[in-house]
Amino acid sequence: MPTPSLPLPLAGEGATVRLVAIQGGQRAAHRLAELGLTPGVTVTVLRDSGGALLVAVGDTRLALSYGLAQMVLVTGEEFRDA
Amino acid sequence: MTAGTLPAPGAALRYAPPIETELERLVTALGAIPALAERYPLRWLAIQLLEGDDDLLAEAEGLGGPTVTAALAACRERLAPHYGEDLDVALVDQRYRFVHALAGQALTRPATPPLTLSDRIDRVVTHRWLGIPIFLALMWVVFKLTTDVTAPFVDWIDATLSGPVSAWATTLLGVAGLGGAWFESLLVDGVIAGVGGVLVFVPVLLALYFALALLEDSGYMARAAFVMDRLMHALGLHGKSFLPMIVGFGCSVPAIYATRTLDSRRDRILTGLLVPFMSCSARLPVYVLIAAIFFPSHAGLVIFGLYLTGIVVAIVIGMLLRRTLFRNQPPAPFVLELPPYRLPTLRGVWRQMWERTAAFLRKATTIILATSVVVWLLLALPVRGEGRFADTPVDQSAFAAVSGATAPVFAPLGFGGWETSGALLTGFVAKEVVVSTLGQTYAVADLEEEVATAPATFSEDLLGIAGGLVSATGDALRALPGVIGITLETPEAETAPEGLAAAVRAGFEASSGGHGSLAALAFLVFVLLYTPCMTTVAAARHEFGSRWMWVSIVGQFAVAWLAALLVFQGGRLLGG
Repeated sequence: MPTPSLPLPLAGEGATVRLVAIQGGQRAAHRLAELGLTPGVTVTVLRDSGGALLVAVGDTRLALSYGLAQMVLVTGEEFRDA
Repeated sequence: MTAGTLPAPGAALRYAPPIETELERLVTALGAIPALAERYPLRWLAIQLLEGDDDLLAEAEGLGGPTVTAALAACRERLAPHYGEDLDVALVDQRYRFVHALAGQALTRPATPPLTLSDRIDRVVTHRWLGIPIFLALMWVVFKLTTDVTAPFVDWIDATLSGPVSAWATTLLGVAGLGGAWFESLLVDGVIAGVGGVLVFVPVLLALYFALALLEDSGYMARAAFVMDRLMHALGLHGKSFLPMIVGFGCSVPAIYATRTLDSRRDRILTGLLVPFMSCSARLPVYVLIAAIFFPSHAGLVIFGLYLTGIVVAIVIGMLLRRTLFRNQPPAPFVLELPPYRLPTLRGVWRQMWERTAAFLRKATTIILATSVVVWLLLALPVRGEGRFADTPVDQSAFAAVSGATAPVFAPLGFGGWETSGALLTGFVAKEVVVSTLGQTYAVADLEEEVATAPATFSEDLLGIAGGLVSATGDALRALPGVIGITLETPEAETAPEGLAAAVRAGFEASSGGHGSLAALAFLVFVLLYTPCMTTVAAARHEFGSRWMWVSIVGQFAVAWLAALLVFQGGRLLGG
């Protein structure tokens, strides 16, 4: 059974997930890729302020507004339980 | 670049074969153009062009002509079947893969990365409940630093320019045989007073840029943006816009410049349009004077109410702008790298302070100087009566004529006298002068007239200036503890001179048909909401361009006029 992929904001605070793809605008996708959000990387959601996420990608810490985070599709262990 | 002297990296970054083939072709094509080959490392240029760097493409086309465009288009076309629209993402992705592979071989890392100090600080600073109070506390410190701590220096510069420096200029002109003439008045009342109006901002700006540099260089600013994001969403802005707003309570000029920390132009402009509604400290003397005359027992409440009104107006206008002028521009979705916390270096902080302040001085001096000279000219030109040039009573000057001509605009608001119009007119240059203009136009002796002292010698003046600086430093140091404490100092109880109070009251009663207090309140609301000062206008032009400068001036005037109308006419309907 393939694991479902979900937008990053649905992962929830504390979740560690794997990035599957970035969908949506070219420019945004390029910008996110430059900051290290490329398919396959592991992303940890450190904080969810309700409008933006604070995530860890390797040694980098990024603040992402929901608008951008919606474009980031992720998958992880947590989703199979949910 | 001295790339030639660096050892070549042992592991070269190679892209996937189709990309490498095209890169080689592009390098060959670009290498055939000598202008490009001399100027750029060709492989780097080829990669940038493939990734879609538009600025660089324009530059390369400028040097190499249509050959560049054609070669690039051909490469892209051949790569399209492999990567489609995602060529740039693929390039970045392959770079990251290379980096990860290299890092994987060179670095040994624990399986679960330990919590760094930065992470631990972030746990507190971005905490759901603690984050906002921490941010507000820091902003409070910035606010106090730019107002209380710099105030002694502002006073010192002001006193030095209006005292010794003006006296020196007068003496020098006297020596040159030009004393007493209109030229002296132009130099002292026009030029020195005008430039002084700019120079007094220097301590405020230095303090602000000091605080901003600390917040930015330490890495906190990025966290603040994350923390405040939600609250600012109501205004169609995100977290970073909060800082300029807070700074605006001190002074609109640094607040406009503080919008530079925002990423998108839309956010900078929208924030810059709202910042002037925050009641800046220069407006306070006007509130104090008018409130003391008309509302002596409720002065504090009136002043607090005005500050609150400014905030409410900013929120309402922000929501309106978001739905009108900026309707088709959603807030830029933001992504922000949070750098690990670092100790700011003295050098870095100083450089930011100096560069930003110097930029302000260069731009603002010209416009302020020009305006001051124009106002001086209007005051100097007699249009009626017996006065001569540069020696005419205020009410017979061109200034009175111009003020009188603008007065009907303010008639529906209850303050249509030429005296108040004149004060609002000079208030456009700087709010500090509203009070002194009221004093002048109501034909009372200058409120801030220094007690005439025996002429001091040059060395006495120098000693006085140095002494003033020392005591200003002392005062500033004494104000420092207040930065951390939260003792809100009440403004000094300033009692209006009897003559002026009576004249102002009579003036407002006459222009409002017997509703003096209501007209005074409308006047205060107008002062709160219209253009803070010429320097802010110069800053807005510097940052956002002429078009937005005019939107700002006209918009604020309209808002101020409507709000004052609402107060005066609404109050009359309610029987005030």
